[in-house]
Amino acid sequence: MDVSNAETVTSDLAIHRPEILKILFRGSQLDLEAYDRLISRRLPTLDAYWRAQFGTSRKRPKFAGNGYQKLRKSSRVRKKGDGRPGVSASYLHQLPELTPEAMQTLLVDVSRLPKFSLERIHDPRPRELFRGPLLIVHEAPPAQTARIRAAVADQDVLFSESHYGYSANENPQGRLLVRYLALLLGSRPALWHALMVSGKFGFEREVIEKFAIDKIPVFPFDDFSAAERRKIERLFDDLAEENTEKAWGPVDDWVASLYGLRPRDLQVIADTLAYNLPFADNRKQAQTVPTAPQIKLFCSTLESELKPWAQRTGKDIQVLPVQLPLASPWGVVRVGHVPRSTAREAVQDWREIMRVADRLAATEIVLPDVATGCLWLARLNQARYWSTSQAKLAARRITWEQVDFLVGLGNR
Amino acid sequence: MKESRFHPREDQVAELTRGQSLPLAPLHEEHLKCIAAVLNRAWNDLMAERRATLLSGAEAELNSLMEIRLNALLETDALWAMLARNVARGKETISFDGSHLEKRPDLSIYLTDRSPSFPLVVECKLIDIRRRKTVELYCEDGLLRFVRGDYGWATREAFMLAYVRDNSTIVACLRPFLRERRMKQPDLYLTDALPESISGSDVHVARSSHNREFRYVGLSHGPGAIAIWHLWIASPTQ
Repeated sequence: MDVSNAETVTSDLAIHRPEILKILFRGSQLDLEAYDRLISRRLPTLDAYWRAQFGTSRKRPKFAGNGYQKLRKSSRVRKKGDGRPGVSASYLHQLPELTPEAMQTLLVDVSRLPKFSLERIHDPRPRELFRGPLLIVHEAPPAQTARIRAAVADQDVLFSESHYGYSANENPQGRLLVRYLALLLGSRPALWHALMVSGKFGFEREVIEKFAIDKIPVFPFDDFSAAERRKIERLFDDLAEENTEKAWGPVDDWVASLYGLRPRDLQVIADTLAYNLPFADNRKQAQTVPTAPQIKLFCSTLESELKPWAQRTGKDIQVLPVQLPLASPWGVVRVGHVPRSTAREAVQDWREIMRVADRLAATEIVLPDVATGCLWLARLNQARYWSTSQAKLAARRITWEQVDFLVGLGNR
Repeated sequence: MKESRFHPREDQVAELTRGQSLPLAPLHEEHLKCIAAVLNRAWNDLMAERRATLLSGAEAELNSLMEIRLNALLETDALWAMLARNVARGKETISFDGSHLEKRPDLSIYLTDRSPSFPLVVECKLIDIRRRKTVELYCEDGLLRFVRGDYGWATREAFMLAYVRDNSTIVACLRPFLRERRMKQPDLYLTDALPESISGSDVHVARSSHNREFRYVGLSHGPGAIAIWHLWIASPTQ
């Protein structure tokens, strides 16, 4: 049993809230609680917001969609066409075409883009889709940034099928609207939302389908005050100048506040994206041995979470890492009152306990130790079990399952 | 003849309880003490800011304020946040056999360790003899719902919260009332143990125990007794 994936989902819950299965697959109970907080805001989705702003055509939102597709072997010959596969692309000629390098910055420098010149494409795409100001979203979030890659082009730009485009040309506030949406989609909460609800991303694919992007909640742009609009300009300009994690920090905080999320939710989101994104880098990071600072942070988080219980008994509680006398795939911490002496307490049976745990494929061992008046918590020595979120979940489990130990703290 | 809309619905109960072992495991007394303390704190916080409403408002107004405040406390009270996910007012639930699909306990506390299908129920009542809000009403319209299986039928404990606007106390009013009823046959409240103060609690809270005679639909057993935690909060003299 993997302690990070051992939630109980009742059939009643699965029927009424099927999204829970994906949320708990990629996240934890803490993610579910953050998600519930977010949806309780009842914000419109990007799709609903865009439809309300720009209308629909053939039941699809106007001025939004995938980029053009190159001619391929399967391109059909149209009955009323020119007898050749695909369609002529001449109506798109001379448009600057987006390059991967241009998507590295938040504001696309159109003057440096090559002109599009392909003779034919697979299917026609509406010319209006490529009118600036444009929000362009790459379907594959880069593993190293853990963010949806979004950019803004103020002029007309052509983009390929790997991108989703949203042209705000028809909106008088279009320039600022696409800047706002680029910040929103590039934020950590947006990628986290896609990871939580997408039926494909983080399940069978490493790209985010447009459907999942369109489901991302959007705080209505029209509801922003003048001051908030100036804030959007400022945040965007900072990022356009320097697309760094440091510059994204205030954006993450701001989007989290729009979503009604708390600072501690952002920490949960950061942990989930660090260890549970479907990319090889994340999987590798999740399995590496935790560093000393990571273990220290785990201990201090667990300690502060349990502190209110200790205060009820009038004692302090301390969580300390334990040096095991043997090489082990496990890491151990001691949870208990502050020891009066410096004499080291030790559990003699570790070898046997861990042998049993390994045989059961367990990932966590919780052992209340009456003799020493403490509780030993062992977890697999992989970074994913030593995150801040995991410390909070461990504290919660101890609170529910080891309450006699917590209450008994005062007796020692 | 038209069929009554109140009839057992086995499918509803089966769907809700599939995979669950009924009744659910009891909550630890220490957790319930903490929850009682938070309910009390929410009231005290409100009293500092919403005194007028608390002293004269209708029960629904008070419940609404309590719901909002209890949810707000999740942001600041680490211990509370460890125990509860959120609190909802008037959340619909079904009765033990599905006869009633729209039962609405006053407050539902969704615990972090328990399925959201089975919140801890808090039934709230005004006690104010001048407005005929008597202890009898507290029991008839409150306590009895737990005994009959309208509320909290899958769990072994629940709260009753009294907003006391006169001098009524558990010892002087509730305990004698239940004792007297227990001597009558039949005892509607099936009192197994009269309210006793909980020792070591930060607030004035008492626990009574009541048998439940209904059987779970499709099962050969019933839920057994339910522990009712009575938290009576006295309003200060107006």
